[in-house]
Amino acid sequence: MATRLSDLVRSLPVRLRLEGTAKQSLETAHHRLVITGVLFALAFTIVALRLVDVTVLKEADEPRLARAPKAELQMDRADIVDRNGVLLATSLATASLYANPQLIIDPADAAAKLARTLPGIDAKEIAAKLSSDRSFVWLKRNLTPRQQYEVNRLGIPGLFFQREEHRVYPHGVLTSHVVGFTNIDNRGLAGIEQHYDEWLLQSSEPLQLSIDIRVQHLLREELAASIDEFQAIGGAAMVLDVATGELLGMVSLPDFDANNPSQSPPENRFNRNTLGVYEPGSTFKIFNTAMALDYGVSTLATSYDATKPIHVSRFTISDYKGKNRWLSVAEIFMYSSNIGSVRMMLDVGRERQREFLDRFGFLKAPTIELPEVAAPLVPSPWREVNAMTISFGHGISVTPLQLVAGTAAIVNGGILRPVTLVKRRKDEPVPGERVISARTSEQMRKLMRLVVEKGSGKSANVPGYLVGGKTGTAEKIVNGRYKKDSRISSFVGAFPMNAPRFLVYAMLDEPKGNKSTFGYATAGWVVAPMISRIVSRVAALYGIAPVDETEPAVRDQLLVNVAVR
Amino acid sequence: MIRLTTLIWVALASVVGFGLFQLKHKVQELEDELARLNRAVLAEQQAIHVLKAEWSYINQPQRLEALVLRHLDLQPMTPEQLGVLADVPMRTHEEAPIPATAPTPRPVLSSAPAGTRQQPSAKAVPVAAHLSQVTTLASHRPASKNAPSGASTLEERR
Repeated sequence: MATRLSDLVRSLPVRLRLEGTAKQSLETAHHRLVITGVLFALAFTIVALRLVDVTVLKEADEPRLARAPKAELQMDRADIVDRNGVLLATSLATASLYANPQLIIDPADAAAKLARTLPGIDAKEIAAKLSSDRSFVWLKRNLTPRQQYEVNRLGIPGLFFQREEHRVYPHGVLTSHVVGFTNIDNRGLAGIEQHYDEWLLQSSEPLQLSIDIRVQHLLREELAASIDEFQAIGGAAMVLDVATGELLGMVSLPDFDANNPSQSPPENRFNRNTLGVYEPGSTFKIFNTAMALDYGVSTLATSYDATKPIHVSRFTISDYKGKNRWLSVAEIFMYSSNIGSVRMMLDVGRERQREFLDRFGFLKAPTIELPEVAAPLVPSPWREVNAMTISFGHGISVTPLQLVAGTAAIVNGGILRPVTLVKRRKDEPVPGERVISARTSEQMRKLMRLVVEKGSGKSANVPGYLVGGKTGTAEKIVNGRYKKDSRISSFVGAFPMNAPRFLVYAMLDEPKGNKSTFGYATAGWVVAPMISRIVSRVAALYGIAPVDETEPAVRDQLLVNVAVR
Repeated sequence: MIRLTTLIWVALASVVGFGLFQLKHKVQELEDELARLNRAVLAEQQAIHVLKAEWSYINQPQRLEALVLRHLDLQPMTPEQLGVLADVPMRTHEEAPIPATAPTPRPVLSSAPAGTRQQPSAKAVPVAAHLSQVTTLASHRPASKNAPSGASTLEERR
């Protein structure tokens, strides 16, 4: 139409003019043509420009579009490593065998073959499973690669493998109480595995613990040796970095293999460090003494009457091999006098004692990254007689974890830091709050050194490392009564006492004296030597140089300015 | 005329079509290769993962300790073997200067380990040679007063 019109116009004589409606329609047609042409030209220009843009200008982007899919191993559950990166828990891919009974031709034959290949499965049971009319039955979870190969070699149709993950603990028993374990579906059932269950399922980075596997090993070895030597029914030991609150080692015996937790009796899963509450005994005098010093009630030289036992209601508080004379605060601590401790506490007062112990977190359950945490047994109401027995560590039961956290605050200058099992980042400040003055802390360090130098903790000493601490022996309560000859012997100490770095705790449950201890099963005899061995091994491990204890500068730092008889 | 153009176009189309086919084929091959490599990488990563677990397993401290006791003359390091550089005495002037090319001689060291080496029963051989020097230094320190004597051990320890 358009062509014909334009042809018509061109064929007309030049001078010829169309008038009226004919001219009008010709003009309209012309305009329409021009507009359409321009539009098309524009569209083509855009297409051309875009073509140049895509093919020439954006050429650099081309390879990115065809990027290869990256191959990366993704496990469902993140690893757990120690503070030096040693693998403590990891997930390994395994194959689990399942069958579609609809496709099995001869169930009895297949079951017999499988029972011969795989240990621990019953031919009859498998045959029953394979003859069922379902279309999916599990036969065996988590096969080893060799077993998978052998099942494949049987060539039975209808058997299939499902890729699964199996949690593996390369160090087995060594960290079982800390790391915990998972169930067959890889959900945490105990320890760090349970506390960080969600985190481990979401993270691709490994979880780094504060535990040092080497410390863990030496603790377990020394603890096991002591339990063996003194025929104890169990024990616990911890090493803590007093500056950061990081636990370098936490061992509780008896323990279990995390790879096979059901193999051990359930009581082996009991973590004495966090789940056990025990009367701390004389180790609690650390807090009683610090309390009297920090409230300004006593000085190291203040004397108290320890000549005769104290009678209160139906109890008699006496000293174990008492001195029967007036004792200074330093002597009360060194000789571990119960009578003296009660008199100090009476000077402070019941309310202030409760407040002081609350400050250290002894009245509520401790917080740590483990689900196995017990609340302390605290008397309620806090009567005078309770206050008196608590002054020497009876009538209150706390977890060893609380004792360790509190003692760390006593020796580290007076800052209570939350105890953790997860490695702290170097660039983050360590949280903590002041519970006693730096001066009280310094005095307590001197007193704790005195106990090891001259008091009941002598065998805990390691020449050159200025070990300090306090022994504690408490009779166990069985059915509400103290049981003779069944004790909890413990020692809590730190080193080097002039500038403490590590806190060491060890405890034996029901140790029995032997010939080498002349029949004694008290902490000074059975636990202190273990502390000495632990300290020397930890010091060697971290390359802490020994100091010359006879040097005047060192002596001055730890000198107790009170005559001790 | 028209025939020639058609022929040219047909030829061109065939050439381009063949080229395209070749290219596609090559890309397919490369993609297969990539997938194969990715599978191999994944398999290697899996193997590394298993080996890491095994490495941790065979490095169990108790296992290493048992192996060391069985095969080596090493013993656990004691604090006496630790020292600081300041403990090392200054070289006296009478001794000849060390030749620049020769490795540093260790006159003190040869004596102690040599003696123990000759006795097969003696187990304590210092871990590193330089430690024996520190050991000899440490033994010069005054003995600790805390060594328990027979009389004091009978004291009450509570």
